[in-house]
Amino acid sequence: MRHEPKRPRGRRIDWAGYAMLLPSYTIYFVFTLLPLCCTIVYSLTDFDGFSAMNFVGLSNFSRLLRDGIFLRAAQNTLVYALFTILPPIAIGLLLAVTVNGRLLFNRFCRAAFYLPYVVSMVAAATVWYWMYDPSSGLFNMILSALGLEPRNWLFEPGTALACVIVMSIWKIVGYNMIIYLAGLQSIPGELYEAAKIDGAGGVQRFLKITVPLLRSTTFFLFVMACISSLNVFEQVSVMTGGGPANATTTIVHQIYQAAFQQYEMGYASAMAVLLVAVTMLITLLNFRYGNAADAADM
Amino acid sequence: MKRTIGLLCALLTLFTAVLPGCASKEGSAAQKPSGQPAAGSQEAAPAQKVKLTFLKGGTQPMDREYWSDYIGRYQQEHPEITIEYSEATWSDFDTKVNVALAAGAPPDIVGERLGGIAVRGNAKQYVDLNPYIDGLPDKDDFMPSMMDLGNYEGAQIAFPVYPGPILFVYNKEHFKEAGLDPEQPPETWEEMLSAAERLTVKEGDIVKRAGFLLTPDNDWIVCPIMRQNGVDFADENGDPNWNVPEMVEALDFIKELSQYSITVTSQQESQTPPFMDGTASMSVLSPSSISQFISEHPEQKENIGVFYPKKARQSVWSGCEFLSITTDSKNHDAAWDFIGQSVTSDEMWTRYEKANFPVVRQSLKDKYIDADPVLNSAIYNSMSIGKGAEKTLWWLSGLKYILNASTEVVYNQKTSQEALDSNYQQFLEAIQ
Repeated sequence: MRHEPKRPRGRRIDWAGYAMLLPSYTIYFVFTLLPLCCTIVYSLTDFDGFSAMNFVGLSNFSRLLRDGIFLRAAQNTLVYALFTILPPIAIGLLLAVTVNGRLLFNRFCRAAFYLPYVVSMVAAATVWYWMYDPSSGLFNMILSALGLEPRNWLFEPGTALACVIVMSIWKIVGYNMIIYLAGLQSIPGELYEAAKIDGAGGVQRFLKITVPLLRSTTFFLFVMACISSLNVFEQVSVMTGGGPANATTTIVHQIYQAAFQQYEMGYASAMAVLLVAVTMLITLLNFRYGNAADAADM
Repeated sequence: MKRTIGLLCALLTLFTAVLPGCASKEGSAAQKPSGQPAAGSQEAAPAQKVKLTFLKGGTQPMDREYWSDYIGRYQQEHPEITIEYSEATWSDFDTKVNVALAAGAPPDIVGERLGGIAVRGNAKQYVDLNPYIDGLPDKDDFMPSMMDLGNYEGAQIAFPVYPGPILFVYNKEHFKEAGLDPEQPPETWEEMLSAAERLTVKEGDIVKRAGFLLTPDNDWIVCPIMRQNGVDFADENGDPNWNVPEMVEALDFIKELSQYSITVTSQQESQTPPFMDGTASMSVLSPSSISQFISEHPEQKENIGVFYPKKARQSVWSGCEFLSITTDSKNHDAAWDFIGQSVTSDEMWTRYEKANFPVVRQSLKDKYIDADPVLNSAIYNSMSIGKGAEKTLWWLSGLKYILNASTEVVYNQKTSQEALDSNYQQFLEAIQ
């Protein structure tokens, strides 16, 4: 039995260790913690970005509850999150299972599905904007070829958000597929063989073996999707500018407009604090109830 | 040994990360104008290199071409001065200026617009140019109405260089095709609606060619229509005053007119004006856009007509672009020299010839109108009947809710009265 050496009296501080941690902690402090604290302070003031700020208490937060445009943005953000969390995870899993098998052009398919994820969001949003163009866009050309009525896509309040969601799903799915692919490699093949011998079909093997054993991967993707969906901004800014008629504006888009175009840094900070609080709450709930995926008993 | 090396690497990384933040801001307290600088004077000795940064709003190619040309000539005459020119779309302009100011790295010269005068003036972000202007021998030649636009509480914080009347234009060929008299453009709202209906081309429910291009979030269109019905957004004290019955009527008219429009956002419209590619028969355009279009399609010069719709009065959007010097700039005198030379009579005329900037000197008015009696008369007339942003601190916030009301009405989300009431209420809360 190995004995741990006795610690000498008096603490021995590992200066080298702390020094190695110092750069990353400094960067975290300066670029994350300090701005976060400043934002919380600004949210309690009428700061416009330049002039001296006056303390206004919680009036920025109470104004949020009466601001019709912000409430619409919050609604849009929740709808967006609803459709860009679970569907891409499900599609990513199905794609991963498909390309994990023995298919012709397997590697090409994996690369093709993953490629949208590595393209810049602004570039991708611009291309999709052109595709949605009512006059000369690809989608209306297809509809016309099929004898169907063209649509205004991004310019109709009823379809604009859906168009942004479709684009976002297309972009995220490849990443989910790659993560699931990695997870699939860790599932022992013997389990599938044993299940086959026992007469389990493909769907049963998928539902009873694949899905449960990928639970930790699913949990990871779910948490990340929750956080990123609530912070949607780029595609909204590029494709619709928040319109038409605030049909696609989101919380982060409103933060951007209030802070940098309307000189309401205090109000924008209040929105940001609220968003952080909601995101943290959802993440904590995820960890509390969702993370039951310790190593499965195999 | 390994721990020592690791420790040294960690300290080196930290030092490298901290080093940029320790860059000194020398000179920031030493470069304010001393009081009575002479026009054209330069604070630096001729041999000392000066670098000026010039950020301009708007991305019109003709404007860019002109300013690049002027900068080139200026730098040739002043080899000790280097000017770094950059642009931003108007939708990004305020953000860029705000970020630059907050970062302590503001541009020396800013191509500001009327909507920013009150906010920037209130925050003392631009230098009072009066000491410089007083040194100009022909300072009385500049149009008082234009100079007044750049004045905030007695300080001339912006020098007008580009009056920006936005003209209501129509396509005479389209008028002929629709059986309308191309020399008799609409003068009243009723005539506008009637003409728009006849000019609109549809495929199913999709408008392929707009009879009148109406983008509900474009202040160049929406605000003049409201003013045409007698709405004054601010009262004589500068307080908001736009929750009035005339506003409801204007919103109703905007709603009616919108059915003859193609669907674009104001951002898309500014990038590729549909009037120029033939997908709108009536629209609003800036003089530089018209000039750009005519320079690319000279055969279209006679095809563009200007009209002045009226309900209670005629009105068009008439803003202005200015040149300002940021307070935190380290080169006030050099920046003023650049501005001062750009507003001489000769340079102002050159600017008109190259980029169709209307003139702001009274001595050039007759020459300007004689150069193109039809278009330039229209521009001058528009400047006299037009009005731009209200020079108040609440304008940007108010405009957000005015355009929101317009958008809600056009997209059938609310009636005109509901949209006006709810947005005005939210606006009042915002400015309180």
